[in-house]
Amino acid sequence: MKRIVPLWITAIVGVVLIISNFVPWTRSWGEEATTWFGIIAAVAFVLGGGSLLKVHLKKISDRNSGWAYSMIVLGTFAATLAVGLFKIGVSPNPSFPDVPWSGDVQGQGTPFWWVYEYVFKPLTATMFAMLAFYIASAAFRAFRAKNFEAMLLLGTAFIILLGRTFAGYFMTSWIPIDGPFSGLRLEELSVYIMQVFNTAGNRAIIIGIALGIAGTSLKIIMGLDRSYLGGGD
Amino acid sequence: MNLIDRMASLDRRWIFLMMGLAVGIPIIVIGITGKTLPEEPTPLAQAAFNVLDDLDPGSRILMAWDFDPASEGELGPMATSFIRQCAQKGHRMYFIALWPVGAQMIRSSTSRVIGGYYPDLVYGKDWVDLGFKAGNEAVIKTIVTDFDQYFPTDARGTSVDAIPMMEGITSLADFDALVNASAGYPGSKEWVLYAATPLKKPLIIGCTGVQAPQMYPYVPNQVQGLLGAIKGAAEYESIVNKWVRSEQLLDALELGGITEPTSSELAARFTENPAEASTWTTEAAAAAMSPEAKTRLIEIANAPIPGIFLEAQRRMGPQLVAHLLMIGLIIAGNVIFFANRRRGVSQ
Amino acid sequence: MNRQKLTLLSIVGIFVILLVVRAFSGNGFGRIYVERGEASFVKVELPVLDAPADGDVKSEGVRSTWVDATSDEAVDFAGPESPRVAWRSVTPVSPRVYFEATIADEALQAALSTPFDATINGTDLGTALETWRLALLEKANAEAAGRAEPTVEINWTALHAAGFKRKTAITVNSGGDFEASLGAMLDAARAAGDSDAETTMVVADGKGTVTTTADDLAPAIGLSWSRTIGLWLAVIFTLAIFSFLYKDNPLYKIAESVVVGVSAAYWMVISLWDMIVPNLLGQLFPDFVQGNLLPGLGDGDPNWAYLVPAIFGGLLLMRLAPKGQYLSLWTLAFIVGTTAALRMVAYIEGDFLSQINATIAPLYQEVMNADGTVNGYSSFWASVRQITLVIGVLSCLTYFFFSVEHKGVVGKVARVGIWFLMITFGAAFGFTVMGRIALLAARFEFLFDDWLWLIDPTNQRSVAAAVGCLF
Repeated sequence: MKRIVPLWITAIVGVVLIISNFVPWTRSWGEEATTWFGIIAAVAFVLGGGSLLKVHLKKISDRNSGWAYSMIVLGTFAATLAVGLFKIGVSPNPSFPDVPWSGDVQGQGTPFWWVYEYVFKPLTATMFAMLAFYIASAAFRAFRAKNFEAMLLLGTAFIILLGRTFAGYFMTSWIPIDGPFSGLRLEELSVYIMQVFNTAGNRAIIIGIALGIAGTSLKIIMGLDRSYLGGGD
Repeated sequence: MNLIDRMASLDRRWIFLMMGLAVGIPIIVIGITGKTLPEEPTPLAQAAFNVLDDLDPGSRILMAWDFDPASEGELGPMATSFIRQCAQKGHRMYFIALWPVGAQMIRSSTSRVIGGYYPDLVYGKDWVDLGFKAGNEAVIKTIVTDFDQYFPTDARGTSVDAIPMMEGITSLADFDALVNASAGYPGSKEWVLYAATPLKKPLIIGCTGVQAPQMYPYVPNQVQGLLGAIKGAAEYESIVNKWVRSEQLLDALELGGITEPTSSELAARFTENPAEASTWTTEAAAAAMSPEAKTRLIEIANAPIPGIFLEAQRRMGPQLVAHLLMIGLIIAGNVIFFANRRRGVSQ
Repeated sequence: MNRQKLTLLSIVGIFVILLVVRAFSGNGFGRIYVERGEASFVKVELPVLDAPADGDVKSEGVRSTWVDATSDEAVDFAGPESPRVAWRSVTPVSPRVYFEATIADEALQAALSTPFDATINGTDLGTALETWRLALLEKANAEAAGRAEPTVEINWTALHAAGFKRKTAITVNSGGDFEASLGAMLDAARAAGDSDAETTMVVADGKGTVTTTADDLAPAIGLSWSRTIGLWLAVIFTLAIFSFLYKDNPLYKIAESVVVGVSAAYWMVISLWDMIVPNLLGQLFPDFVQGNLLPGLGDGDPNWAYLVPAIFGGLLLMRLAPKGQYLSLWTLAFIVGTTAALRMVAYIEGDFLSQINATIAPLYQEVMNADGTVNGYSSFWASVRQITLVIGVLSCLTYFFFSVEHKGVVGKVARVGIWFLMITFGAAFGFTVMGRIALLAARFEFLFDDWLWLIDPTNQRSVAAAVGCLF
């Protein structure tokens, strides 16, 4: 029972969705299923919050190392949730001023917006910006032109890095733009690499992955691949 | 300890500092001087512009903003320029987001561009914010055939039935083009697979540098315009800025009584070289124009481009220096490596 | 070591103190200004010619709806008994607006204490005040010297309400400054029996207003403490994350914990208000949702089919329950089944077939000139391009073909495939670097522009303030 029901759910949903692509009068079934999927995806965010709560509450109650940080996680979680869920400080929708809960929680000036603008935004943006530093350090330590393949990789990277900035234009602007060697100008070369070599390589990868995904999907729908159910068979 | 050894054991914090300076100093220099590097648009950016330019004014454009503050540095300028081109052209814009934070991206880009520079556009008639919907590719798959199922209201809680520009929209097939600014999954790949390919609709993609190489194989059959990373944004930005300037000049010339084809010709000339506008107004050909119209023309020709429409071009400055630093670091790393190896062999 | 740490800490401390002192003296930096106002609405009954589209219909041809209290409809149709709602509204303004208002205020104050030398004899109050207003405006503009545009206004609505009349004839001795002259004019009007109400001249937001003391005028443009504190908090968080580059520290860990807590809650709130309420609750309980949460939602009957996703959603949350966690697998099965089916069709159509289709094109590509003749040079290069592309795709696919041993011809072709892939990865590396740097540039712009006011690319502040941070 524990395994049979999920397998049937997967199979039925999968088959209905595939059929809905080909049989016009079943199209609405597919639409219905994908809309439900969206709602479940939204619930998944709630699950995410719940899991976070569970993990950090346990950390605090066990007094694990760094439990004070867990307190910060929970505190900020609770505060953000409170101002968002209860629409604290949110003015009603101007078209319906008499309905107090009709306001826009994300609108400018609300406490929830404040959390987004001054906490969420700078933190997430800076975390990603840090990668620029690490990629520089990696460039110095890890990229070695040890063989022909590595030289190809680094050579291409150089052409792209130069060709996609003013440096490329500056270095090869002496090559006449309408002459027979105009293709050797760095900016032209970088376009050529992207549209021919990169396209060829990525196209092969795309074709390969597509086959893999189609195969795996089919196996999942047919119940041959049950890894998502967890545990051994 | 010789130089090579010292370099080899260089603390990575020095590299971080170099990177910080390589990015920080050009920002300050460009910020104070106000000068940006010239941009030469590549065919893909031009193609992106042409798709939107070839459509008749009033066309329905779906604008999918699938990114977050973490990638706003690259995609924000693209979003700004996409809106600017559509607003100037008179297209109707429908904004949606598949990322939870995309809803805020829609708000910030529309308030900056539409709120700041196209205040005449009416919400609900010229543009609408349909907000975020959860479900990733399932959202795209559903709205390909049924729009209302996922979008009963806009982001402000108004029923789509009460929004004038939603009339006649039942599915994605009712749109004339799709524009997507994407930072990952769900994003450009999903729009290609689930919408542009089955519907055969023109799709323009602005994506991060990480995604861009993977999107090239879809050009030109499945994707008609592709802006990759900040360079793509800068190219497109420069095309749009030039075009908007020429449109404004054209309006000013036609208001002053100059008709086609002379007006287009002059607008193109003045866009390239603003100084010509003031000399031209003193010539006999401009005699028909009133002094006010002439002043207005010269004003438009010489007006500086607002700062928000130069964001990507400004960022090309730090980009240039940091790219050179990266190349320098790779070369230095290799020099040290080979020097050490040779020493190892000879010893 | 301890002494070293102490030195470092004191340097940082002194630097921070200097920064804060500088930020809040003079024009400073890192401040956010707003314009405060009021949003007020009134419920009116509008006549409708067509059938009403929305709003509750009171009687035929009348539609009850809320409008902005300053709109034409409100003026025409609202009565004293009409229901009204109002709340405080806040609009951000650029610091430049605030600076200009301050300059204009100072110019007005300075102008008020300069002599007003027109003679007001035998004219009426309206003309006298207008003469005074224009003269003051001229003086104030001269004081501002083009750096701001002060305005002067006579609030006749308030003056009328207090009993002052434009037509009252007044006689005032000339002399004295603008402020004294204004008092003299109004005193003359009082002496003529107009009113005995107190009047005042308020200077705020770059505007001087002559009004009664009953008309409560307060400056609307000012510093927003909540947003300014927010900006500084954002700066602290940004620097806290960057501090990890030096070494791991508690400040970084705090910032990291905050990001985890805030983002989980943020996504939860958004998914609730943007998805669960309109798309699920709106289908199951349309009346409740329309009445309380989303009044703009159209009318409709409950759609009980949506119980299915509601149940699946509930089952998913069972994962958090101590017992019955296996039930969440049912929802997982639904998610997996949907994803698999969607991807299978889309990847075959959009990736597999379309990509093969895009590759199979004639190897010889003909490029035409404008006059219809073949351009041999361009055709040659276009063909080279197409041939390279086909060779590339085929050789890469050969490399991916692992069921044949890569020996002999296959091995050689696969090696060409590797070269193509290496170029592909090189391009990907180049683009990745480009992306990362742009993100860093955006953060630095935040620090230099929004916080330190070192640069001003979007003309948010006057030039004088842009270099204000340089002590």
